[in-house]
Amino acid sequence: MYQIRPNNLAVGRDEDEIMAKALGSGVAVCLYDEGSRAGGMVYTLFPDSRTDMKLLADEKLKYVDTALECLTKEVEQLGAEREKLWAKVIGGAQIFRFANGREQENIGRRNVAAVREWLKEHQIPIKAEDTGNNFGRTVRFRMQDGNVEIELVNKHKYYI
Amino acid sequence: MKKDTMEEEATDIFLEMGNIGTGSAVTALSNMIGRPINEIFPNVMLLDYDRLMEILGQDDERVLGLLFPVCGEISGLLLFVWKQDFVSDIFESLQGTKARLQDLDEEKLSVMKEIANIMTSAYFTAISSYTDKKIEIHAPAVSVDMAGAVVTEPAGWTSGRGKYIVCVESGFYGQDEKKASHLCFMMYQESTVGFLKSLGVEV
Repeated sequence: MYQIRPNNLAVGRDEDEIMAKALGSGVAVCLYDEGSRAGGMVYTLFPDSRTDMKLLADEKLKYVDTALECLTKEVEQLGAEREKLWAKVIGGAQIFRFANGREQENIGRRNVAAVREWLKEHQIPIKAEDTGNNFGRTVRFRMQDGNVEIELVNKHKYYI
Repeated sequence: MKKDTMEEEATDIFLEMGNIGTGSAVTALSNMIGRPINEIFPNVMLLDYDRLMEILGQDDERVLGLLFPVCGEISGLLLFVWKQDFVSDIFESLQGTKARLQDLDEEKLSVMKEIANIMTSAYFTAISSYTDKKIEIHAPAVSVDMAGAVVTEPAGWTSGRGKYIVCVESGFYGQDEKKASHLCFMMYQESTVGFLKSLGVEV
């Protein structure tokens, strides 16, 4: 089991498993090619690299758009076929809700919207999605069959 | 202040700020629950999720998070991360009963909100008189969830307004340091720059 931290990615195949713990407003995207049983997961906290006027080379995994470019390249290098890739999208919650809503900035929703936009633009279909709401999620992505396990703080588990 | 380092002078100022604020907040807590509370010397860093989580504990540990927006001449977000054991100790002191985080009802959450309110007020009153800056505190939002999820949202929120977020973290505990809870002030970049400039510190 390989665990990724925020603003990081990992790729794998066959028996490999990739995990991201305690997603809040951040979003995890899993890309997978069933034929080659190769895929990867990226976990990012911010929606759009274009808002960063001084983007450094090592900050590409901070933003949904540049992170997804990196992930796609890496899974292709591992042998996945670009045309056969599908995506699963997890996270983008809003953990804190203020009573008056005044201070609210829903970064989780913006992260998910950025993912959907990028995937649509690059013609990668979304096979399943578990996003939004107000709870944290731990994600385990299994390369053997592309299954994604989601675990909540109360230890409840489900699969997408 | 350079990309990922903080000048010593600026660090000392924020350390002193954290010390004064936490001292006052912890005294307020101790008075409320009638027990001595110890504080852990603050950490000052440019916001770094991994480093912060090393201090706060496991990503997937259940915690009670309270988040206060802070405005005025010093602005940012103050995050409380309360651990199970400490919350239980507090309820034992106040009501003579243990409380589990997963079972906190509205009434118990209100008690914790009130405690955090009083601590926050003490924290910023002390900082305000130390820095001579006006600071306004808004009502908090509350969540009982995984520590990682509780931390990434304010971290993302502050970082969305600038790359260089100063984070002043302090720990406090009753008897066992391993059961420490934490408070963490993440300052918006524009506030940090304005604050340091007003003190004559080169940024």
